[in-house]
Amino acid sequence: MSRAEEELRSIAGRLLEKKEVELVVGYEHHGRSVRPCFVSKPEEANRLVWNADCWFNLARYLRSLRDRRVGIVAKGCDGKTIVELLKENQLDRGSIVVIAVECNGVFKPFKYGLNRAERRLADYCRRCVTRVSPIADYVVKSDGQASQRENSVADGDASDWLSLFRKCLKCMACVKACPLCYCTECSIEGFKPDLVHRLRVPQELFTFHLTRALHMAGRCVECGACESACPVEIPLTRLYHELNEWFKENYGYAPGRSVNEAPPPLVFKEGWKG
Amino acid sequence: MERLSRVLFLSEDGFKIFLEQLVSSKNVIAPVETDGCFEFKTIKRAGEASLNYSNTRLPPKRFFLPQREVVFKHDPKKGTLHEPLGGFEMVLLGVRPCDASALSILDSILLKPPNPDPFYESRRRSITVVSLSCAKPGEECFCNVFEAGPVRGSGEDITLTRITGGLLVEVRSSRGQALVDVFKNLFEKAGAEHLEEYGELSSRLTREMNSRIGIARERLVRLEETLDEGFFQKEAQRCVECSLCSFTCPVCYCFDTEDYLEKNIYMRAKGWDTCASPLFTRMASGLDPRASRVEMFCHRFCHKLSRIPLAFNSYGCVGCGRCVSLCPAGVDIREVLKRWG
Amino acid sequence: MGLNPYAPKPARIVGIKDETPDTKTFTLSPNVFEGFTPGQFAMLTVYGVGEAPFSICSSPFDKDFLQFSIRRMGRVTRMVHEASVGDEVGVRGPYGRGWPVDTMNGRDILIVGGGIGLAPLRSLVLHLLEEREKYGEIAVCYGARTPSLLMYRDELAEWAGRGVKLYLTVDVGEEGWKGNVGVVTTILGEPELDRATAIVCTCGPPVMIRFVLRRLVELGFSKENIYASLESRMRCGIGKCGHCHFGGKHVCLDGPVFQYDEMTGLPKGISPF
Repeated sequence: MSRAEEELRSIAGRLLEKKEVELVVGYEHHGRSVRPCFVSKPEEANRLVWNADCWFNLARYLRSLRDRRVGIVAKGCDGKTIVELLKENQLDRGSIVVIAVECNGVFKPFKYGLNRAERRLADYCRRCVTRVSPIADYVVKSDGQASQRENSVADGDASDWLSLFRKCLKCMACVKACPLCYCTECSIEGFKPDLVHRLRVPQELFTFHLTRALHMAGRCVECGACESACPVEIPLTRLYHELNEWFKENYGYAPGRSVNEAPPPLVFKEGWKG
Repeated sequence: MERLSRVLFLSEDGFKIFLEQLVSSKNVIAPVETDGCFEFKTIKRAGEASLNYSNTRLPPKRFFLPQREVVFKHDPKKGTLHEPLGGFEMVLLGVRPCDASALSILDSILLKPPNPDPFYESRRRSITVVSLSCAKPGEECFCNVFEAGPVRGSGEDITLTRITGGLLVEVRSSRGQALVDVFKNLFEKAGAEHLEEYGELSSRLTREMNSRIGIARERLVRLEETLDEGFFQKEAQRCVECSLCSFTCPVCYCFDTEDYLEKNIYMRAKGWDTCASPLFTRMASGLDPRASRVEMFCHRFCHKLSRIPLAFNSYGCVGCGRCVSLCPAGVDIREVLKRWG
Repeated sequence: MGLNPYAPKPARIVGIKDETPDTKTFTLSPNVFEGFTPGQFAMLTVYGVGEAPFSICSSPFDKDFLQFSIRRMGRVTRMVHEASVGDEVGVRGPYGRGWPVDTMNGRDILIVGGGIGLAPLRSLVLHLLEEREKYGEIAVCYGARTPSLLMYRDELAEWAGRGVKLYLTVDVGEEGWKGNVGVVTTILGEPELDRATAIVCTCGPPVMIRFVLRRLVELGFSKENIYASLESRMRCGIGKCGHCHFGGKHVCLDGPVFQYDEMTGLPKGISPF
């Protein structure tokens, strides 16, 4: 057990013991990886782990736990998600205790049918500069759990989006793993029949992905949950990153930095730029 | 489908020639490595196949049950267009026993009289499935539970097992026999030592896997009676309802249909659906017999482990481990098995 | 290739009759089925729009046409409602298990319907009336929310004239309504039948079925003689698509008509209990 894990468990245990929270959302061991877990008893806090396999964005669960006081283990991007959800009035800050863990990046998840067992930093983590959540009640310092981060865009060609989209199964894992995709009626899920029919594959895959990309533009915190969940390895975060870059260039705005920074579309005024 | 079992031996060199001749004479689909990941693709040269693979990310289900296919065309002037089905002839090489067993489950569902699915049937009849036994079961595999591997599956036409000096070849169907007949001078009669090695390998691997998870699967039907337990509620909390599990499952067969107009022809397509979709059971009136999240979550397991067995007399899971490994939230069907098995 | 089970046979709409403000009965010809059991259903296709399951509401003795009573609900039914006489639609079937007509000879029969749930029961009533003398008492207890939502109003009197005891009720009366007011369970005890042997067939909204079943048992009807028709979303009608697979049963193959004891084994939600 690392020092960071030890600290994390003691904070979670204390919060539960003092009944400051009803449950703590964190990660636990599962097979050769980790998975999300929900701890509600102080003595169970020792189930919590923290390592470079913790790619899943736990903020995904916060909306469904709105009516409870929840502690959450948050990487930088999980924290940025919480910031965005707060801005979009989806959460009540008072009912969330953020246990920020310093993050040096997570590994590309080890999944079925992979040839190499070698672990490498996820592409989206290479682009990320946020080590600690911008919103935190507790901060757990890292003890060097993961590898170095390069702060540079990963190589590999992702310009041929059409052929990447063609691989898509339209399983919706990207939508469902995304903590910011919370619309109860999703325009691309076929709730309103026929907008983008789930069966229309591959004809509407392009519409599907671009519709989603436009909805993520200026909102995506680039946590990589979509990309890591994807069974056919479409580097979706890179697409959303491009759109975020456009936002940054034109309006000087990046999602997730601060609760006080309003998204440009909400505060847009005539002639305003940057 | 009759089940023959003739056992032959193919030397390492013989296998190379077999592959080369096969690729030059037939449409061959085999596992190919792309970006560190294995997927089934058409190969033009024997060397393109990567036969040192754990398993493919996606199962070979789509060759039999495409994600989407047109099943009906109607011309308002000429009436219904009847187009002959065909052109599916191919050899699917290197299917793992679990994925091959999934085909025999699909047979019992989709070919069940009195209304067999002609599209599946036609593909099944035209595709020769050559399986390759597992030498080292993967971390998440549990095919032993359903006797779907690791050495021998139940839906393949030929089972290949690597043994010293070559491969043991089990001919499992007349389709398999037909393929072997084409290359008959490459095969030798299997000797006693080959069979002995095969037997040892099979029992060693099964023993190994049984030590990980060995359960009495007959008890799984009871799953249905104990649904209200907290277990599913707790697990369902983790599930993000992404349906990745059913899209990557070699058995999940549920489909939806869609009608549309294309160049003045009325079309009907059918394609994969998933019980994780909130629309799966919702009727136009808004009524939904399976409205709660927990029940939707339960259904996936109940369907595979008790509801398919009750209706079709075979389990709906082969233990390939894809859903366990690929689930972003770590939902694990093995925990259900351990609890109820 | 064997017969394509997903391909409907073409038929024309030869008659459209308004039943209630949102329900019409469509008559299709030719009758594309060689025969069917009352209570069975068919998949009706509006070409290019979609397909949905509907109970056949005409009599199996009518060899020239098929009838379906359709309530405007979703996309397919909306398009059916917009169709006119002469339009072509697709039909495939008949599917599922219908009412247990073989067991009805010489016995009293109680038919309990709610709203549009009378559709599959109309097929049964017409079937029974064809050979009225073969059966004992035939009673129909039928309820709807309001008098204007009662189906087949012009036919009900004719049924009564041909030997059916009719008991009508509405949840809420309207001006001019002189009949019973109250849910259908309140009139179930009125028909004088041999409750120990009478066959009961019911169809209606799930909540109605639940209370009807409870009341029937209280009144002394035998569980083994009670049948209800359930509904579920379906895509294929032939037990392949998985949508109507509840418990070990397919509504499209093992139903839509289920016996009382079979329903107790169905999972919560689809089970009326």
